This record gives sequence, structure tokens and C-alpha cells, in this order.
Amino acid sequence: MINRLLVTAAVILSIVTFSVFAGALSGTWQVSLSIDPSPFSFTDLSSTFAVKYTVGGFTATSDSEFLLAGFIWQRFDVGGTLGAFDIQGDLLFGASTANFVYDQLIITAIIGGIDFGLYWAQLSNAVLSGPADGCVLRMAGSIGDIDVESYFEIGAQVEDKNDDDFNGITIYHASTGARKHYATNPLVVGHGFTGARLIVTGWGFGCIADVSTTLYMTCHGFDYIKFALTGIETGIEWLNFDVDLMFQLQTKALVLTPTINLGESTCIDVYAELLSDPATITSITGIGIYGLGFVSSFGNVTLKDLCVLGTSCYAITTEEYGSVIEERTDALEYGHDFYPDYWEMFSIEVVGDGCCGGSYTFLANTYFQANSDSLFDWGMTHIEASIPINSNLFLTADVEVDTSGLDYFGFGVKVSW
Amino acid sequence: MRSRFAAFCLLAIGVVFVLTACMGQWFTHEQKAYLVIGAPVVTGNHGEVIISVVNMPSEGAASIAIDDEGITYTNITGTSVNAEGLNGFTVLAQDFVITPGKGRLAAFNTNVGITGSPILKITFETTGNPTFTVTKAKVSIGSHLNTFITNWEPSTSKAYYAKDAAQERDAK
Repeated sequence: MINRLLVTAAVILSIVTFSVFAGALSGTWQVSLSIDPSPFSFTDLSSTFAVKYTVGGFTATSDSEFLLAGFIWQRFDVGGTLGAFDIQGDLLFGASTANFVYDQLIITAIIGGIDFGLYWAQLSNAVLSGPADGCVLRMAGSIGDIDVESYFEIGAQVEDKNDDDFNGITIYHASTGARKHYATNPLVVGHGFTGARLIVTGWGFGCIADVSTTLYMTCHGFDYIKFALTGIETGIEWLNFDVDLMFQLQTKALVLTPTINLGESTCIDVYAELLSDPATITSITGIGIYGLGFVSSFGNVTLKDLCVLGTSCYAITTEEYGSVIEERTDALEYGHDFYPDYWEMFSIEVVGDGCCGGSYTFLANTYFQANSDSLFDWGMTHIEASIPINSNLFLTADVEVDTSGLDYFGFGVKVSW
Repeated sequence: MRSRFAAFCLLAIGVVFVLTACMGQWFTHEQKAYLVIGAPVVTGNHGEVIISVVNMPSEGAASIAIDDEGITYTNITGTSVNAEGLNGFTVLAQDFVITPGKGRLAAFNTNVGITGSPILKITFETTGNPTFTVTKAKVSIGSHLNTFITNWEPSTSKAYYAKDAAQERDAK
């Protein structure tokens, strides 16, 4: 009950605050509705109401998100600069249960040539896996071409896009699968010092272009030291090697990754990989071509064709994630939605200036699947369009038709001010 | 010269932190794995339930088998129930009946284990306020390393869960 009152009070306070300072407000309201005609049902409803208020170099944002299941997320963000410090704060409420879910504070500054960053976060007990809280102190600097980076972890970890072991945190709504991602990941089981990571990159010698070293210590002691050597030249122009060498207390692991460089293509992109025998990874058994791509533009029309040949490992991502060929494991790792059943996509996109400000877009993607009974193995067609009424008001529509008929149609409105 | 001094200071501070920090009192406990059954979302007479995994060990869940009567439900039209795999999961087989409301299914993921995210979406037509239950004793979860994951609990009590909620390595 107290949580509900707090969330309600926070929402009312933000609305009142924003109303008082209405002159400095900007924002967007985006709503879309999808309908499955047979049997008639609403398959998707999304309404996102975002309000921004800027004052004194700081921008505060309130973001309310409604889905079919109801009011799911209420987010408050603030970001700006205070002297030498860049400050970012994020606050997330689970509106469906009126609970505080997560917050983080990130303060960064450059002092004496060193990047300092303080990351602090806490995860609520209302979240399965919670509660948790902690912070990370990050320092980074350079000596010539060598970059040195240090993370001192006190019950938390920070997302590192160069290291798959440090992914930040993603919070899901269990009933809908809707998610939010943040950089600071508080350790569920951590208290006090939990780890320190030292990364040295940018040094090379001989034929090795780049050597990266990562030392990770936890409160239990030494965890690992990792050497990553990238771009080892072989003398063969199109063949390089990457080497990852990891030492742990009782193990040593060596991963050798041959990479192929096919150079610049002029018309058709060839997606290729070197194949090796899993039993004897030191031998290259061949070159596998897992995809082909073609993109061409004529004026404001873009034609694109993607063909996936290795469908067991690769797939075409959905329109929301750029319609690209991506390895399935990567798509799953990074939360990119993809079409598992289609092996080819033909796309036409038209973008142009609208009559009254803004620009219109029209996109038609046609997908083909194996073993379909339809003409040319056609599987599904996705069409979406966005039309400006004026520079601040857009109408959107989308429709999907598959082999069983009209899958859904939807429409939406986006208003900004 | 200035950058060298700065980098030296950086390294020195890092080493001092590492050497002085491990002073005990960091007791940890094991973080449980969960099978999360989302609350049914109903619009009109159409509904759906999302099933997710959280904190799955051994490189994540790669298969799930729910035996007969492992799924039970009320106010759902049995013939309309359909299970669909999410995040790389493929439904191999499924069987749902209306009286009594029960079902079973098998699904797998050939590419990767899922440590935390939705794996199944079950859609249905409802005749009223639906209930949807999964019985732990009838559920088997296999890992990406082809071993059974046994130390998990079903969860229906919390509306939100976190993926990659970090645990210390080898938490004890």
C-alpha cells in the first residue's frame, strides 16, 4: 500500500512539476495498437508518454509505458553537467505492482588526464533475484598508445561492451516479456569489495597489431588473467588469427579464432566464415558462405535482399533490429529479435519529405521460408508506413500477412511538442 | 610526462585497492534458479502466459519437458491452446485437453542456453478468469551442457525479474 502511494505521489508530483514549468517542456506520446482479425483480438498495445524538462544544464525525463497488461513501467531519468562532473540518474518503478524496481547513479569526470567514473545501483526486493546494491569505481588513462582501465567493484559490476562477462542488467516484466536495460549491475550476493579488474590495451609488437590484457581479482583472490591477441598476420592476405589465452588458478585455456578478410565488395556482400573441425580446432576445413546481401538505392528508394544460407546458426533480425544477418547466439545474447523460419528477405524502402514537415517512410519486407506450399516458398510479408501530418504529428500503420492469412494489422500515432 | 605520471598513479591506486580490499566478511550464498510463470494477460476472450527462466546454471536452459498434467488450467478452451517458443526455443510437441484442463509439451534450443529471459509463450481463448499452473514435479529442464538442472524453483509471486543479476563466480 505504501509503495502504491509512493508511486502515485511520484507520478502526481512529476505531473504537477512539469505543469508548473510547462513553458520549458518538451515530449512525445507514441501509441500503437495491433489487431489479429481471426479470431478478433488485440495482440499488442503500446503507449509511451515521455516528458522532458530542461533547466540549468540538466534534463529530467518522465517516461510512462503502457502495454496490453496495463501500466508496466514508470521511469524517471535526469542527466546533466555540474562543473567538471557529468551526472546521470535513472529511477525505475514497476507500475503494475506499484513497486520501486531499480535505480542507478553515474558520475563521471576527467581529472588530471584520468577518466573517473562512479557507478552506483540498487535492485529492489520486488524483483526476483533481488535485493542487491553496490557500486563500481572506474579509472582510465593513457600512456602513449597504451590504454589502462581499472574497475574497482564494491558489490556491483559495470557493462563492458568489449567483455561478454560484463553485460549490465536487464529487468523483465514476467507477464509480458517487456524489458529495460541498465549499465550498472548490483551483485545479488555481494557485500563490500567483490572484485577488481585491470585492463591494458593498445600495445603490440612484431606482427601482432593489438594485445589486450585483463587481470581480474575477486574477494576470493586471483580469478583470471586473460591475454587477447587480435589481428595476427599469417602472410596470407585474407587470413588472420585472433588468440585468447586465459589463465585461471588450475586451468589454462587457449582459443584460436581464424578470421577471413574478403575485402570490400562492390555490389553483393558475401557473409563468410572459416570452418574448423570441432574435434581438431587447429585445422581449417573450409570456408563457409552463410549469407549473401545486396543493397542498392535509386533516389529515395532502397532495395535490399538478404539471403541466409546457414539457417541453423544465422537468421535475419526483425525490422526493429535493422533487418540484418546475425548469428543466432549473438542475437539471443544481446536481446535482438529475429525471424527463425525465414531464409530470405526482399525489401523495398521509400523515404521522402512529407508535405507538411517531417518525412514519410514506407517499408515492405517479403520473407521466404523453406518447405512452404505457397508460390516461390513465400512465407510472410511485413508492411509498415509512417506519414507526417505536420512536423509534430505522425500516423503509423503496419500489417503482416503470412501463409495462414492476415496475421495482424496495426496503427498508431506519434505526437511531439 | 604528465600522462605517464597519471597512468602510474592509476596503476598504483589499483594495486593498493586490490591488495588491501580482501579482508574478509564477504559471505555469499547461492543464487537460485527459477522457472517464472507470468500472470495470464487477457484481452477480451484472448489470453497468453509467458514462461521464463532466471539464473539457469550450466550455460543456461536449453530444453524443457513438461509431463502430462504438468500444466493445468481453468477457464481456458483446451482446443485453442498453443505454445510457441521464444528466444530460440522451438516447441517439439504439445498436447492440451479441455476436460480436465491439462497439458504437456517439449521444447528445446539447439543454439544456446538461456540463463534468463522468456522461453515460451502460451496463447489461448478464455471463457472467464483464467488460471494457469505448472507443477514442478512434472517439469524437467536440461542445460546447454546436456545435464539436468535440478536446483530450481517455480516462481509466480513476483512480477519482475532480472537477467544477468550478477553473482560472484563460484558463489558459496
